[in-house]
Amino acid sequence: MAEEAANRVLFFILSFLVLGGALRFIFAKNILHNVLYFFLSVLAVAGIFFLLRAPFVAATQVLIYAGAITVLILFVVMLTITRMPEVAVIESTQALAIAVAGILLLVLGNFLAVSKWMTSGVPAQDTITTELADVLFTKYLLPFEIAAVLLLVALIAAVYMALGTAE
Amino acid sequence: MVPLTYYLVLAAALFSIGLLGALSKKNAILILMSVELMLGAAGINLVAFSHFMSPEAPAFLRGQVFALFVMVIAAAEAGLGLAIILLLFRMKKTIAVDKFNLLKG
Repeated sequence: MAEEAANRVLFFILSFLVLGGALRFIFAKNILHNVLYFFLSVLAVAGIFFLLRAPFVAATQVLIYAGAITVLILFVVMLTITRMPEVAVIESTQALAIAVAGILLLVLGNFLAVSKWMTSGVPAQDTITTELADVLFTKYLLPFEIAAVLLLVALIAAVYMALGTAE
Repeated sequence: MVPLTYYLVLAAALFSIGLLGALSKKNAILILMSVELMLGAAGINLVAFSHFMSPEAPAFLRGQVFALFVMVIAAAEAGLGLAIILLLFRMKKTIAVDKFNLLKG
């Protein structure tokens, strides 16, 4: 089963990139390094979506996260560059944060590993984008329109907030 | 093929790493980026569940539509959060979150 082996190898490479990128994002010193490791991590998440046979979701992930959000963050980093504080983390809660995240990961991982998921053994088909568009514009039309209005409101609010004090 | 549990553990690990960043960073932009990582982990969960639980055509599109809406909301929230960070920077010339303690008793 060459395809299964390739699937596994790709999954482990991509999950190493996702988790490695996220960990380097947490522990980087320079803020630009933080942004670049975030970029790597969300690109690898798009690769995971490709593995899950969802090419449209993967392309949207690249466009929105790796495209728009990363560029927005880079602009805001450029506009708010100051002399960075010497310590990048809040010392008083650092140990507690690591403990909370570690306990959450252990509990979740244990629960996920021992549960019996009712998966159908049949491998899923590749997603055809026109079918996704059919469903999105007929059955899920109301959430789609609400999301469009939400984006409009967020855009107006962000522009007003960012320009409002430049009277 | 890779079983469902591997994808779920990957999403749980990404979520925990994002939670670690959101709880322990001083820079407000880094907190926002950690929240975006958590949202990405939720998206992996949604698409993985719909991929493995229902292989026929209309049913596994639900998870992907849900993941698309999660991404739209994440983009809106990131834009608004960054606008707020810009306003905070204009007010105090810093974005370290431990300097914003005006409500402290």
